[in-house]
Amino acid sequence: MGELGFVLAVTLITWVGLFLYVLRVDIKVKEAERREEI
Amino acid sequence: MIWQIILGIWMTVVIVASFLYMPATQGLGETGRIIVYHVPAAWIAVLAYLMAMVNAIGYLRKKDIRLDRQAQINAELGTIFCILATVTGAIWSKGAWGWYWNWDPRQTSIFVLLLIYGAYFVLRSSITDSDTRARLSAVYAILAFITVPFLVFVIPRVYSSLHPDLINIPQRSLDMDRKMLHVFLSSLAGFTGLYVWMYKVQMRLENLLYKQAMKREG
Repeated sequence: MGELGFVLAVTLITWVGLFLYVLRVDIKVKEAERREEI
Repeated sequence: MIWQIILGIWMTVVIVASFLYMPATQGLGETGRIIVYHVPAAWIAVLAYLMAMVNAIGYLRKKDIRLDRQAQINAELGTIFCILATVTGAIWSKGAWGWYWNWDPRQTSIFVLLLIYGAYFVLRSSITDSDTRARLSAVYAILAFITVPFLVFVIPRVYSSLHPDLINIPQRSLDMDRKMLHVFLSSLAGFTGLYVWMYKVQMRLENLLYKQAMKREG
């Protein structure tokens, strides 16, 4: 489980990092679209 | 925002399940778990390249510049997922064959595919006039996709390869454990959702930049 647990942790961290990055871009684009409408 | 959160949770569950619920692959051992990421990444690459070709045909018919941008975004996403498939394949190769890269027909064909789409971006960046760039890129995107079925499905099956095949051709079924199939299909759905999300965000961003550029030009 030791090595497998390490690979699982790395995969999860990579996924969460990617997810939060895309979510942040999504939110920023939404804000810019709102400003554009105003 | 809700479906993005659902996608986040979905993929987290898929990742945990791929290590804790899914059994190790027969013959491939623990490294076989990478199939849950490798095959869906390759599938999304093919899907995105297909969509790039559809957008390119649409552009040539309608001359709508938005279709050119859509084709470009799809080619970019296709290449990102193609690189992911290549990297996960190389990691698996190291575990199974002892080398990250040994020019197996599968590895060679995906490398050629990356070069073909790399040339698409070189072509785009070398033309300054937007109409000419859109027209030539559209023609190239169509020609580039014609090679995809050969490079992804035909060539690796024509030449002898060590790469395992998921499809059992005589039985017309997937050679996969039931638990593995659950995780694999869930991953496929998750990757597709991730592609759609990334595409939409990128498209909205491109539209904003286009509007701002139009405003500046007056």
